[in-house]
Amino acid sequence: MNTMKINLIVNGQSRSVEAPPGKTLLYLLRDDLDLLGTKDGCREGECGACTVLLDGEPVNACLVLAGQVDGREVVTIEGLSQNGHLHPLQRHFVEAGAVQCGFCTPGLIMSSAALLEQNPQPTEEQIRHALVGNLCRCTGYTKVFEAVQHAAEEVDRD
Amino acid sequence: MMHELRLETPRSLAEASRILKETGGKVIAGGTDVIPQMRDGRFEANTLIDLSRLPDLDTIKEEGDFIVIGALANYTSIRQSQLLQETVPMLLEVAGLVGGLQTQNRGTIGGNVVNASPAGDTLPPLLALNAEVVLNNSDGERTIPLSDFLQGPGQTAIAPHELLSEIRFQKPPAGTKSTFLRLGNRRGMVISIVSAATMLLLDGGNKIEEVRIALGAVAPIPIRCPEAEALLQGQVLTEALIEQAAEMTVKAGSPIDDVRGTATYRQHGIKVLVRRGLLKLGGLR
Repeated sequence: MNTMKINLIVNGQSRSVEAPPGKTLLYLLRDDLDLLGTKDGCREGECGACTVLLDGEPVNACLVLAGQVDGREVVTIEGLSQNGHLHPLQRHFVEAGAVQCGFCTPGLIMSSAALLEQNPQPTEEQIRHALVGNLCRCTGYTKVFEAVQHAAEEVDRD
Repeated sequence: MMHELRLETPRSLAEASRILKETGGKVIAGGTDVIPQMRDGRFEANTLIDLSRLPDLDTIKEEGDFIVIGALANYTSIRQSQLLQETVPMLLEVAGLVGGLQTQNRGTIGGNVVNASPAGDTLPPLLALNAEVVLNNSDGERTIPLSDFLQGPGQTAIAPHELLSEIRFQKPPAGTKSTFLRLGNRRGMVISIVSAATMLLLDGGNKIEEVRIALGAVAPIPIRCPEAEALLQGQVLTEALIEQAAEMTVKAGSPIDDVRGTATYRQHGIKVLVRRGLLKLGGLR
C-alpha cells in the first residue's frame, strides 16, 4: 500500500498520520484520528453530514483527499467545546430541540459555526443560505434555524 | 483502488505539465467531481495530480480589455469578486447557486469547464461571454474558444497532456446587464433541469445594442441561440419582441427526458427562463 506522511493541525493540535494519499479526509478523521463526530453520510458531497472547517472554511470531508490537507488546519465538531463547556451552538441545538436522530447535527453545527465566525448577526435568510448544503430528514429545519439564531444572540452579547 | 494511488502535488504549472506527461495521471483540484468519479471507478489512474497548491492560478483579474479567471478560482472567490460584480454579475449568481457553501469552497471554475457536463452551470454564462480557454502542456499553450472546447457530455477538445490554466473573455461594454436563471427542484444542492444566461446592452432609446442568450441542460452541450439573438439585435425591446425571441430559443435546444425532467418540460422551461431573463434585464418587469 502506498502511503505518505501527512502533518496537519486538528482541533488545535499538531497531528502526524501515515496514510494513503487517496484516502479522504473523512476517513482520516474517523479511522486514523478516532474522531467519530464527523459523520459518514453520502460520500459524494450531497448531504453535508461530514462538514468540517478546513482553514476556517466549511468543506465536505468526503470530498477532500488526505494528501490535500498536509500542512493545513482542520476543526471538527470535537474541537468546538472549550474547557469542557459546550459551544453556544451545541447548547442551543439541544435546548431548541434541533436534534432528533442527530446524524446531521455535527455537520449543521460546523456550517453554523463558520457562519457565525464570518457574520455574528445573521438574518434568518442568511442562516438558511449557510445551511443549504446540510440535509436533515428529521427536524424540518425550523428548530435548527431557531437554535442558530439563539446562539448568535448569545455570542453577540458576550 | 484508492489505496494504490500516488498523489503528486506540483508547485508550478510547468512541473504539473511535466508530471502529467510522464504519468498520464488524473488531474484533481477541488475534488468535487473527481472524488465521486474515483469512488465509483469511473476512471483508471495510478497517479492523481493535485493542482490545488499551484500559486496564482486562482486569481480573477483584468488584462487590458479582458477578464481572466484562473482555472483554480473557486465559487466562493467568484461570488466575492468585486471585478466580476461590476462587470459580469451573472457569474456571481451562478457561483452562489452551485451546490452548497461546502461545494463552493472547493469546486473550481476550471473543474466545471473541464467536466463539460451538459448541465454545468458556469458554461452558459461563459458561452454568452464568448469565453476562451487557455490550455497548457509541457511545450507551450494554446487558446481556443469555449464553444470549440465543449464537444459533448463530458467530452472536450483537451489533449491527453494538456491542463486548463485560464478562462478569459472580453470585458462587456459598460452598461451591459446579465443574469443567470435556472430551474431545479430546490434552490440549493441541485443539478439544473434547464438554465439560461442572458446578457443585454440597451442604448438610451431602449434599442438593443448587444444581446446574448445561452442555455444549459437542453442539449449535449450548453448552447447559444443565434437566431433569437439575430431577431433581437438592433430592435427596440418590447414585451412582444421578447415573447417572439423566447419562442424561437425553444428550437435551439434538443432536450431529452431524464430523471430530472421531461423534454417537454425543458422546452417550456427554456421559453420561461429566456423571457424572465430578458424582461428582468430590460427593466420591463
